[in-house]
Amino acid sequence: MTIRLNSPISSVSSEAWAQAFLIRSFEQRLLRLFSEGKLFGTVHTCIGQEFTGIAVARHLLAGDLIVSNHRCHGHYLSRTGDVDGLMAEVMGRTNGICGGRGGSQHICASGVFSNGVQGGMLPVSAGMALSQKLTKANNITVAFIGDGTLGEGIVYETMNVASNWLLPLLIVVECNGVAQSTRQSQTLSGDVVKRAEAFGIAAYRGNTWAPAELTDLMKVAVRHVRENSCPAFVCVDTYRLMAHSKGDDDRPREELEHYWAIDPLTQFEAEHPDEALQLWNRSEELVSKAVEAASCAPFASSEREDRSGPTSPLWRRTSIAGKERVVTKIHEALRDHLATDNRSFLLGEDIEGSYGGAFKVTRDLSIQFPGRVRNTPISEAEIVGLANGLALSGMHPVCEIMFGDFLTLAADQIINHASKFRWMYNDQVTVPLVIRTPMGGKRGYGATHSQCLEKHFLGLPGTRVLALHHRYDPQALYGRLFATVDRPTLVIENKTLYGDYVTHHTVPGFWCEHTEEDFPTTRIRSHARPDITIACYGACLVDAEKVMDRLFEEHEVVAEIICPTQIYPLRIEPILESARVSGRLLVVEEGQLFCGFGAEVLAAVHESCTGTPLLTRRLGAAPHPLPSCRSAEMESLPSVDSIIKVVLEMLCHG
Amino acid sequence: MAETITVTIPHETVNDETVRILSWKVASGSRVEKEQFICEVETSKAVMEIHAPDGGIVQYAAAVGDEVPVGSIICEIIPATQKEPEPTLVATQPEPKAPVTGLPPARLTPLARKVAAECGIDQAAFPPGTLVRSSDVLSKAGKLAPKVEAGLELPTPNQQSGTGREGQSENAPVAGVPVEWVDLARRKVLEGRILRIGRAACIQSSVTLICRAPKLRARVDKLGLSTAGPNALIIFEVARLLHKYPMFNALYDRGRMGRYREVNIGWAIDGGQGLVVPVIKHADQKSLREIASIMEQHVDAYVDNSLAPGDFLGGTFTVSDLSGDGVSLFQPLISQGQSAILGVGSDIASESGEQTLHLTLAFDHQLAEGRRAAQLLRDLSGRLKVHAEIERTPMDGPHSPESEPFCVLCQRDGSKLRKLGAILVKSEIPPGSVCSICLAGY
Ligand SMILES: Cc1ncc(C[n+]2csc(CCOP(=O)(O)OP(=O)(O)O)c2C)c(N)n1
Repeated sequence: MTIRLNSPISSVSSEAWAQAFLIRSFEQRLLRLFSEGKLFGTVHTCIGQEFTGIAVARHLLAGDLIVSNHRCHGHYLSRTGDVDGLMAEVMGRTNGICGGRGGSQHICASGVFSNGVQGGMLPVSAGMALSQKLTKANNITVAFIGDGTLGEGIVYETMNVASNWLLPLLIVVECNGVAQSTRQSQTLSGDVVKRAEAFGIAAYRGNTWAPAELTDLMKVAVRHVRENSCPAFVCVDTYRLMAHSKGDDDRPREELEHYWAIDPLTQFEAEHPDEALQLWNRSEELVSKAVEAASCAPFASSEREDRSGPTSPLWRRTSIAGKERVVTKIHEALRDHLATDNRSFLLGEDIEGSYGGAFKVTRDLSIQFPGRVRNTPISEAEIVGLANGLALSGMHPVCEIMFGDFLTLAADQIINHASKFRWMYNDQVTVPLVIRTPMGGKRGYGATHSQCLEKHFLGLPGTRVLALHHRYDPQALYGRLFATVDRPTLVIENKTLYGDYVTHHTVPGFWCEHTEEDFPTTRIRSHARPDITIACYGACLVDAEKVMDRLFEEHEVVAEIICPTQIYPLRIEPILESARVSGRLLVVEEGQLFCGFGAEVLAAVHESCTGTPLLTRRLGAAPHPLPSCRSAEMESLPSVDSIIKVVLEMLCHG
Repeated sequence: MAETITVTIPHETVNDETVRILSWKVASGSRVEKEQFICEVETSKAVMEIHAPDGGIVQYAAAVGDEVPVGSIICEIIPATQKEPEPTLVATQPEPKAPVTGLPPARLTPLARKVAAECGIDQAAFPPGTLVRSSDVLSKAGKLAPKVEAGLELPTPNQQSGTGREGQSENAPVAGVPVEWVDLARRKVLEGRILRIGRAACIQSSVTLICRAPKLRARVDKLGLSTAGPNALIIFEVARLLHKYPMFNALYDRGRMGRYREVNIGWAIDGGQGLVVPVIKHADQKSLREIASIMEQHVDAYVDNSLAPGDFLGGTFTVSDLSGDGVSLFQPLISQGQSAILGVGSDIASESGEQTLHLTLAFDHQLAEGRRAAQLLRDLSGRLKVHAEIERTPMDGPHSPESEPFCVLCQRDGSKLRKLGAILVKSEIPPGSVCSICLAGY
């Protein structure tokens, strides 16, 4: 059935009107519940903008995906009609679509994903589109953003990649002329549509006051994306009739009145009062039922991770066959991954060809596995965002960040996206994402290419941080990671370690052991009771071993080294076990000490070591940026000499 | 891929530098299951059972009778699937692959090499795969008395001490009489060493006080503590008194007094299977009933010879009771790292069986004097009498303290108790005030 109306309301299907009334009724109910104090938090209603979602959703097929933002209710309801699930979610109930964990702006169900960071979901949507392209599905991904979000650089990083890689991605800008309180005129330069065109993307413009035309326009755009497997861009002019969230609105009254008057739903009501009343009543009934059902369900709750109590580690003697360099071992692990897992995909800067990355780890892999090892633009946020989208689609992406220092550019994707999805979406998804990056100094690269920044990424629940070293086979470690990865995992590779040989042959008189775990802790020890325990990770192990050798040779002091490969979550028992015996614990790290790894280790040790006298110290980088000058850089970082000095001080005290 | 597991004697369970392999329960090369009992080792305190941490093929790294350093490998367990390490690998590697297949010679520090040359000790005399420092060479040469430094703040760097009899003789037989030498049990040897160190470090003195506490025994029976006997009461009270007399829960070292921050009381048991001194940890924080039940467990374990090495560690004060053997007076010996020991003897004075306790406190004169020791004994005796009194005069009027109220059982005053989160409660039995900590003990 098609309802014929006079201009500006032309032919819009009755289902579309029904959807529009349902969405409006839903959003108005939320505002009412807030005003009655029955809702907690915040909500962003799409009253006035209902038709953007409706116009697109009509043309989507099973398997198509929608990625949205804070103002996502209309998009979800036009795709699913699931009033009950969304209402319960906003009301924080366990029967909500994300079990009440996500709330109004973090939803995930039926192929609709939203998050509350402006622009952050755009590269994720591109990753989903990439997965659709790689699996040759005839599907597309639609991403909604507001016009205020055009200020985010990631929007253009995404358009750039989407166009260059021909991703089936439709970007819809809901152009309501305002961002929270800021007028578009204050922040936008040039022309919105031309921005997309500059990237070679087909761009369209429509508006919600002509819903039928908008629907037709969307049909064209969706078909363009699907048939040509390439991106398209639609700017939809619209108006948000209610406040940004709950009551924050300072737009002039006359302006609001004008837009209420031309609002398609208002017009429909005026022209078809009976139908409108019918649709309205039906919607209200559905929404009331949803509120009622949600009210009966229990609230979501916080549950602590089920941690099995401390167990004493089981040690195995480390035995590594052959003698190869760390870089070769990582290369081989990546090659195995590509060869054995058809869902694997490598992306990063300069990783293709025989160039194979700044540190040659991926040399020739793109030649052996064409199409599955991709060079990206210099867009770290985009790289990790794409990988997030791939991972959410069930792929097993591995990204390389050329220098660990540049993880900061991807921080939002790691902290607000990768680490949040699984829990926030109530365990409906996993993010099997691996990020590899070389950290560390001693190469003279200076303040922005030499840091150990991993401490900023430690402690994100639901993630894992590994650090490679040369006394445990990196190929075995990566092999296990690729086979079992079920969460975002950051792997710290140290630049200076790449050329070192991987063997278990440590300092004479000592031997290497490791715990029996997927990501074990290495212990280097002798038969003698240790006088000092040195805990470290990554490349610090190289110096720690030299320290161990010299302490024995020159000072008749026996050290024991504990070197975990998994630095978050950290299992403290191996360190504790050794420290209890030696009575002295020194933690050496290459990064800055404040709020760092050593601080965590010592806190954990002291919390579980009450009653045992224990002398503890930390050693890390000097508290200033790293100089490029070789001698000054070496002075700034822990060295064999400085570690020995601290150990001897500790021995004198005790 | 399963990897070889190394089985070691963990440092944290044993107080010794070495242990002796007593017996293997499985043959080298045979298959064992996880948790299977594979080896028995003798420490200075007890016999320990070693169980397989996982299943696989056992390869001995030490033989029966070997003295192996604590921490070193006694055997390896190779996963059953990966039977033998690949021989080709071993051949190409500069160092042997595993201790089982041949260890590198002991590594000596330059100083150790020099000392060994001076003492005329062959470097091959040290077990392969071990680290050797100059102190190890000296003790092997018998030039260094096995030195055990007890420090309160921290365990001191490893001092490896000689085992065996390579050292200088400590005594000489009288001339002209043939001698038959009998090896003593390691436990006895260690006991001797601990006492010798204790004696060497202390200037030992003692004070005895006679405590007439008739009916104490009856009170103890009434409390249902008959198995542990009056000893439980004595340990309970003395543990609390040590807070008032910290110099007896301490050690002397180089002009300093090290006060222990815990009160762990060792008590001597000798039921004919040798003297042992298991430790009641944090005895000052335990109720009388808890103390009694720990003592009962100790006795049971003594009888089945199942006292664990951990049961002997950490004692800061010792109680030795020979009253049951009809001894009235004896001179107890202070243990290494401690400053006092309480000896309990008794007299059955009258036909009625009323008991008189002879309390002897042997103490280190470097930390205290006889008067202090006597004060402790007087306090102890007073408290034991209070316990006996309870039985005799159940309804004495409440005791009115002249000064600030304090707990008549633990002597802590109000301000101390507030810090511990405890309160004082008016008490009729015993008269005065009792704190919630002591009260909880009853
Ligand atoms: C990265 C980021 N910065 C700031 C915010 C806070 N914020 C939430 S909505 C919003 C306005 C968004 O404007 P626009 O993109 O135009 O969407 P609209 O609200 O108009 O739908 C802002 C600033 C945010 N969520 N994310």
